[in-house]
Amino acid sequence: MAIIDRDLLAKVLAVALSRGGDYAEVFAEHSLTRVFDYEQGALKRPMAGNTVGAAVTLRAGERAITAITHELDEGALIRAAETIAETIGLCPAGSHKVELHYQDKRTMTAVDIPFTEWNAQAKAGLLVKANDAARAEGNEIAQVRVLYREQSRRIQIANSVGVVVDDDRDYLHMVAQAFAVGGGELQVGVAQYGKQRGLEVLSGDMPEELGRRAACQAITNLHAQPAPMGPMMIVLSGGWSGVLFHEACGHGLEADSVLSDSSVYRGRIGEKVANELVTAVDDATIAGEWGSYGYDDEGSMGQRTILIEDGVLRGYMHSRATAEQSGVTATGNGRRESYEYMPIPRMSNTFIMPGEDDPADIVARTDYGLFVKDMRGGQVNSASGDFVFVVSEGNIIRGGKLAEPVRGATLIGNGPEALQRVDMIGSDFGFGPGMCGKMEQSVQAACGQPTLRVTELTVGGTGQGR
Amino acid sequence: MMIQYEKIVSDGLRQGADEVELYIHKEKTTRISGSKSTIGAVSTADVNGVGIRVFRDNRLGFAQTSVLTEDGVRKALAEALDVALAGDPDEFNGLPDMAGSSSGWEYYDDQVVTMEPQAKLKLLAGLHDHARAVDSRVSGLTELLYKDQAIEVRIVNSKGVDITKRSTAAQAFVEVCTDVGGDLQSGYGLRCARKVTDLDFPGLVEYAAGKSLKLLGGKPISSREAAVIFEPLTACELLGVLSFALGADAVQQGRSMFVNKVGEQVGSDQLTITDDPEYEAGERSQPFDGEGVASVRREIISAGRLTSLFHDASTARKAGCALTGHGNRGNYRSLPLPMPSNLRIMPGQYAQEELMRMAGNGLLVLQVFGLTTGGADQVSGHLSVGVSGVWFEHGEPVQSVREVTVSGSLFDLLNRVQATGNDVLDIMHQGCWSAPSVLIERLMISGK
Repeated sequence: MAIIDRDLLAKVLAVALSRGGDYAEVFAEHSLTRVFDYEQGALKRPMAGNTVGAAVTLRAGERAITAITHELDEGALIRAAETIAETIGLCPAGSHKVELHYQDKRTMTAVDIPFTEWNAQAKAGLLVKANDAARAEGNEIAQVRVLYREQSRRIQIANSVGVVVDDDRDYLHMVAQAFAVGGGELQVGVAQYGKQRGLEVLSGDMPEELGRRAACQAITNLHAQPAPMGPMMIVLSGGWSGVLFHEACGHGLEADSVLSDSSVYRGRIGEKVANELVTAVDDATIAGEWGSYGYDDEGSMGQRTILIEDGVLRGYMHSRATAEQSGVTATGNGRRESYEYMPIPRMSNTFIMPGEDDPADIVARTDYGLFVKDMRGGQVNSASGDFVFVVSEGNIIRGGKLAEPVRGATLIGNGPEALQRVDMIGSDFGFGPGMCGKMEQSVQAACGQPTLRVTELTVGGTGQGR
Repeated sequence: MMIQYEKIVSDGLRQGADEVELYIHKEKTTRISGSKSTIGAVSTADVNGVGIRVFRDNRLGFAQTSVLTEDGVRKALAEALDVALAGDPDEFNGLPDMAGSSSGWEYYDDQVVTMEPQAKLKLLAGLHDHARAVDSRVSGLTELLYKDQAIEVRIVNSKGVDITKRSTAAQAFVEVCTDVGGDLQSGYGLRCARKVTDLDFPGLVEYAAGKSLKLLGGKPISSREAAVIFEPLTACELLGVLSFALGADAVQQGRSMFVNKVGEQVGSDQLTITDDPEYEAGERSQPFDGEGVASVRREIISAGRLTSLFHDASTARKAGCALTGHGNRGNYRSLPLPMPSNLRIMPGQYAQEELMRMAGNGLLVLQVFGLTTGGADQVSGHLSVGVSGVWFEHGEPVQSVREVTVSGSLFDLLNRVQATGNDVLDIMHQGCWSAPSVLIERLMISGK
């Protein structure tokens, strides 16, 4: 059932445009969430959430006026539309008619068993499984925390171009954190799972696997040596290490940074910005993936956008407004955290495509370097292209083999330079789920890549080299 | 029709709860954003909601909803009661035994509500040109985000508490870029205030432009141990990381660097950190916390000694100590958790230039990367973050620096605080943090 009736949507849009303007939009949202937090052997803080709200926007030239309300009745929506019409106030009140046509639904969520099929106790039981599996890894595991979060988000967008769409996103996320103690030290290990899938993914041993991986990482870090400092050759494992590209390049390809002249990639379409081995893509249409959607939060179709092809910059990621400003077609990257925020260009699922090299060969052909097995997160200065990310599990590579584990490494580099220095790309592939923060808004974004090698990045550690 | 919240509370008790609490949040927010000369996106929001806690047989259940109708709130109450059944009993669960009041302080500026958005927009006019006027190398204002809020919170609970507080806040974020022959640098600035008219927008733009100019032509330096001065904005960001580790929940659960450290020396005697809910310039000033407990000013770290953690009702009960009034929430969607109100590194007497002369040679850090994405681990205390700034010698700037990291332990950082400045900055990011420039005697810098 639609969040807001189509006829009411048309009426609201007509009122919004009644005193002039180029474009009007209604964004409505209904989200249901459940969060379970399991720690020290107990489920302490079960939470349920129900969020409903709408944003009515009117654009006129460079101005965009929005009224946001948590009430979806006709009175509240019409009042919101009247407020913004009056603010723009380009002409005396006149009548305007909008005819809306529903676009085909194209949900990217891939749920077999809906969240509502299990009760809270059944879900809580999974957290116990993850906890027990973590603790079984050894006495050094002093503490385990497991978080489970499910969110069913339904959105509806209607605009004055005549388009109305519904999009459903169902997010399932679990994180296990294990704390290992020994010799006066405390180290943490983290493992997470995040997809737009249903409860079917919990039926196997995924919870136990998360617990085990988190515990193993914590124990490894407890016994690891301090990472060396200085420039090193880096081999990044496939999957979440794709956050390298997300930070090194992805943010700089969001069109708002480009248009405001605060991106190191501005004006470089058609130029070589990476090694020719590198092809990178943003793709919202991967069924069941964490950052996917059928329509973005402005009603544009989610799509696959080639960002870099054989090392050459091909395109940016756009919202409706930046696409219009640039004179290009919208790329379906206009996203907002919720109805409380305005849409801005954001990534969806961003990744470097697999290459030809055998992943095992990439390590074997590295005489000395750092193997990055897992990372926390990263951050970028889009103007300069300088980025940093934190390694959460890594090994020295010595003579083509994985040697001693190291900890405490921060990798720092410059986006364009780092991408030019990619010299081997594996044939494997994986994704990891992240929450990407930009301008106070946080959205689901997946990062992915194959195993790949960068000939040099600076490692910020406290140990000595070789 | 007005919702009878007291009736919802008593209905909750009848339906099986031992205790019930309603946290009713009403918020009007204005946001203005844009870049360059086009500051054209204005949004006004009415965001209301209620967070309901129920305790039954020592189990907690929580539900939040934005549907503020009688039906919507009752549904949320039912959800809270239902989801509580999945929780495990905890003898320390429950509402606080005492409450504050709403009398006294009003942290409220009417203008936040009465000034029309278009009038606020006028205050932001001309900032792009103002940025460009600072220096010919400044390309302009690349991002502006202004936000103000008027918030009213009412807490009604089954212990007979019914108290209300109101507050306003205004904040601005700007990014200014410099461009010299394709070498692009950015500097950002944040300011917050209770009153819209207390925000100095031109000053903020000049600050961001100045930072961006200082970072132009930056290069890595070789790895070395050296004195490091964290400029106020970066010191505020570090303070934010520490604030998570100072929560009693993290300490009691063994996931904080401050486990078993209360009463001990954790920093140098030059370091005092205070939580101040009465701070005039603070955005999170309040008469009571998110559970209704009276908030009072309290030293957390006194001349380097850890004297207090942040407690909520359940952590205080577990520790057997007095309530500290730190059961705070971001908004109605969150549970109260031990968090500060306005957290302040107390200022010293030195201007930033004096700190540089005191150190002789060192790195003035103007921007930090990776603090909140794993670079500062509040569990292990490990610190490894990217920084950019200015290398100085004999107290004078020598070269711009970028693509280096500062590493070590957060304890080393705290213990080596040599002096604090008098140049206090207050920012509102995830919390309200206040800090001056802070001189650290030495830290490891990794570069080329």
